[in-house]
Amino acid sequence: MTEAPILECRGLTKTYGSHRGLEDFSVALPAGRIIGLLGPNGSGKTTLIKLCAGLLRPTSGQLYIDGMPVGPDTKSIVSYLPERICFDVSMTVEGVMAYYKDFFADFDEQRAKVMLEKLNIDTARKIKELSKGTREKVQLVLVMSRRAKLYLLDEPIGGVDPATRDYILSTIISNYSPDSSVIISTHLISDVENILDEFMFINEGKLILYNNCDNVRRELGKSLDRFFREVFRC
Amino acid sequence: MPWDFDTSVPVYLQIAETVRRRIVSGEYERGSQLPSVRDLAVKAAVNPNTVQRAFMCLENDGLIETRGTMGRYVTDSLESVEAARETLAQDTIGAFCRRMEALGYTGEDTIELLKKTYEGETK
Amino acid sequence: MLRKLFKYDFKGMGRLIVPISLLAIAVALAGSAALFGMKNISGTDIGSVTEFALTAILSIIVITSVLAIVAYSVLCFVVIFARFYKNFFSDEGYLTFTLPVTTRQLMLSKLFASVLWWIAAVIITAVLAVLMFSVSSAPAGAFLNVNILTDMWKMFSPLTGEAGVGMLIMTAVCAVVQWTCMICTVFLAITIGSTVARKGKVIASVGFYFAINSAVEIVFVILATVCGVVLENLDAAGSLAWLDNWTPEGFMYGLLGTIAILYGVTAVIQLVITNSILKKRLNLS
Repeated sequence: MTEAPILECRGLTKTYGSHRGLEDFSVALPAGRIIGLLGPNGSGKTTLIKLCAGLLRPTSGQLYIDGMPVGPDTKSIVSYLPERICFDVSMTVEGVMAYYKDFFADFDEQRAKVMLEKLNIDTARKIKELSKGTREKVQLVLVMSRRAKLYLLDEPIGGVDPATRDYILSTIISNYSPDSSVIISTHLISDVENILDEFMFINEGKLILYNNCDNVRRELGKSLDRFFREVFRC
Repeated sequence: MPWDFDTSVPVYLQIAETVRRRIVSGEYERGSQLPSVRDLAVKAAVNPNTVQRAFMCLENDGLIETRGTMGRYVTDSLESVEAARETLAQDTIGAFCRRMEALGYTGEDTIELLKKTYEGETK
Repeated sequence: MLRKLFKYDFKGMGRLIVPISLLAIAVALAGSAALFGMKNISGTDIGSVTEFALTAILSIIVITSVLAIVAYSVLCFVVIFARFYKNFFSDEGYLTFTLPVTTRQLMLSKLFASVLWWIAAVIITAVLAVLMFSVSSAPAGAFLNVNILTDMWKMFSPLTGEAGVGMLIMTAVCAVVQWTCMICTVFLAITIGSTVARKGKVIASVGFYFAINSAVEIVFVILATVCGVVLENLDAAGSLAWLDNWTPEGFMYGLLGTIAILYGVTAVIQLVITNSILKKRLNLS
């Protein structure tokens, strides 16, 4: 690899009391990829994402984003989509957009406005007046409107209707840039496998496998979904 | 609408196949510009790197060419397209023959049935 | 970045505190009017029954407005508490802690905004209280006792001597430092409570607030006792003769200054601990 990896973990471990969220996790992810973080519930997906987003501190090991340790500098190049709505719901959509623009230099306001318009979302309305699905769309639009180097999407398509899912995946694809990477954490593998370049299988906090999707298809003649089911058979 | 893929086969091969068919059928005319990697990726709902890989495949086959920063174009060469058409046809026939064999038809029976079916369709 | 954070914290808290303040002012004005009415009713001839009923109603209004003024400062305190908790430890934390700022900046922004609004709330409470005192001590027929402030000032003179404005400023500084320390205790309590408790974070935070307050008080009492013993020994040894030259005014300055320093140090210690927990032990559910 000639360039620095976008994300590099070396022996990353996170323990909560006696429970191991992540154990000796080591991987180097290059830029320009869409990578699936796949594993059963409680396997450590959210722990890894929170560590990268700066919401958790590692117990041991190292974590570098674009060559820098996690801190305010990495937070300005990492765009995080959590599983829950994280806005102050008394703000309007415009207000939240202004907030993003204020704090994130890489926020592309024009792009956000265009996407919100296409979705017919009235930006003057307050977040608390919007339905849950619309709130999630607003959050997705704002996260994807940042020209970040690393996007962390935690279960972006769980619990959405197929049309919305198509829209979300299409947004991720059209947002693609060779300078940035997207990590999608999900357990709905068959829905996303077409847009993934690579994938990480994670279980019980450990990295089971990191490989390219088409390699799996070529060498094993299986879809990623089927391969996952075999590897994680109960 | 996203394209349909058999996800147990490398997706880039399937994309290459689809583009090849469209070139052969004339949907992408000779010498015309191909859709950009991004546009095709969004339309097909696949990863742009996958489309890139598919294009490289087709470039190796001589069906498309990159013209600097202007993008990718279908080849002007009639021979290349014809060759691709024939290869696709052979593949289709080959698959067809194997399927008929699996049904228990001999080569001759198959040709008879083919003749009848074509005549029936042209009437 | 700190300025931007402060802008949002200040405005966010203002959106709640300003309406509450206007309400308090309105209620206090109503209470003052009722008080005025009560005082001047005896002169009129509207009949004893009406007078009795009216007096009863008016006194209810007056009592309500006094309670409202007290509730006002409690509400403002709750707003400060709620803003810190919500912005850090509710789902909003998922956005707050991914902003490209340090935890110190996040914390200090809230501290400045909270202290400023608290000072405003205290000033408003004081003005409203003085207003009601002024009305209640006004001479017959007049609405306000315009000399209330000078009267109050005279009450405090024995303590302040002739120092006047200087003493006032010193008192204000001391008060502000104490309030800052109180808010730092709130922040620390919420941070510990939310980090330690899985469920019932708010209750845990409230609990820790009282616990920390008590702990600080105990420390102060111990310090005071130790100081007392030390000073007694020094006095016995005759090393404190120079203190006899101290005026009451000088003594007040010294006392206020010491209190300010003590609270200031406590505030800083609490901030440092809060920042350390936020940096290292953050774990949003």
